[in-house]
Amino acid sequence: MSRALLMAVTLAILSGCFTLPREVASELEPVAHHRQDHFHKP
Amino acid sequence: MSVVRALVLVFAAACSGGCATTLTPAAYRTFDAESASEGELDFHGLPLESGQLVVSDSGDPDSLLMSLLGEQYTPYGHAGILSIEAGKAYVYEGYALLWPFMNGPPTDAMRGRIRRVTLEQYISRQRVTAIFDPAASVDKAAVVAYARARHEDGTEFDPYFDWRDHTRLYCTEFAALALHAGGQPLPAPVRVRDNASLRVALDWLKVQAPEIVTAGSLTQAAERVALVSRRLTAREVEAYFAAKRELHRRFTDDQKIGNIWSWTWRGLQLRPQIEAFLEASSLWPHETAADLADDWLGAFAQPVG
Repeated sequence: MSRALLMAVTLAILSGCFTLPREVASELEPVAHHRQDHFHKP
Repeated sequence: MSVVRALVLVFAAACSGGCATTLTPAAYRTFDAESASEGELDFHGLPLESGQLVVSDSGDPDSLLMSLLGEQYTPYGHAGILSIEAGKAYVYEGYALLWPFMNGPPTDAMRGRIRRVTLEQYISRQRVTAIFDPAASVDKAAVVAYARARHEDGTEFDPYFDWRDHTRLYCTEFAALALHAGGQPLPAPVRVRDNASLRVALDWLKVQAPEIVTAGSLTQAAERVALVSRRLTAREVEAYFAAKRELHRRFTDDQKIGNIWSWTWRGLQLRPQIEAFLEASSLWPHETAADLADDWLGAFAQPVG
């Protein structure tokens, strides 16, 4: 388990450095107009 | 990759390496045997046999992605093969962990193989688990022999979900080939949706295969013999799957993935209204999931053509 903890700390530190590419991040934004969004009640 | 997800993955890996899990059926809202046969092992009342198919839905945001990825809806996102060994139930599954990475897609940083976990450990990770008996013509001894062989030869997990290349296997591909080793015809792969927003994400993840094998396609000729869920009753499981099917219906080619998911410091997340819709866990007082969705997510008419 101690090895797992060490890995967890390493992963936690490194994960903070990660950001999505701009084009992917853009797709993860909802559309501005609710009429084009089938998952949001106007 | 989120910090929380990383921690969860590492502790899951640690537990699968040796921590004991005690399963108490009374703690589950559904722990149902759906077959009168006795099976090879009585697992807390469930009739289990080597070579049965285990499918599941974790309830995680990325599990919903697996349900919506193909042109045909699938309620389950993961699959494995059951094996009874020395009186104990195990599941062979394709599984990977995400290793530290600084750039590039997370799929490049995924490492895994065909592994064996106890059925208790498998169930503990899932929101819903179902066990299916393959068709009577399938040689279940050959199915489980294939599964054990891929575990023993260290077959790697395929993070790019490429059905055309069997040198590495993803979870449902592994289960499909195991069933095929027992004589079941290979399933018809499902076309990945022609959704431009989804394509941007898949291109980044380097998932280029035009078709995938879904867990739903594996269960078509099989008979469900057990259903397990800690949080949901059997009726709520059906309502939950109907709600996911409605999300699949609404995810038309013009929809952005951002209408369903968001990206936060915790990684991929469901948007609050989607999470609330799925958490409703019951259609009541509505007749159908479409009616419920009209109330929660707004009216939607299926495009013609």
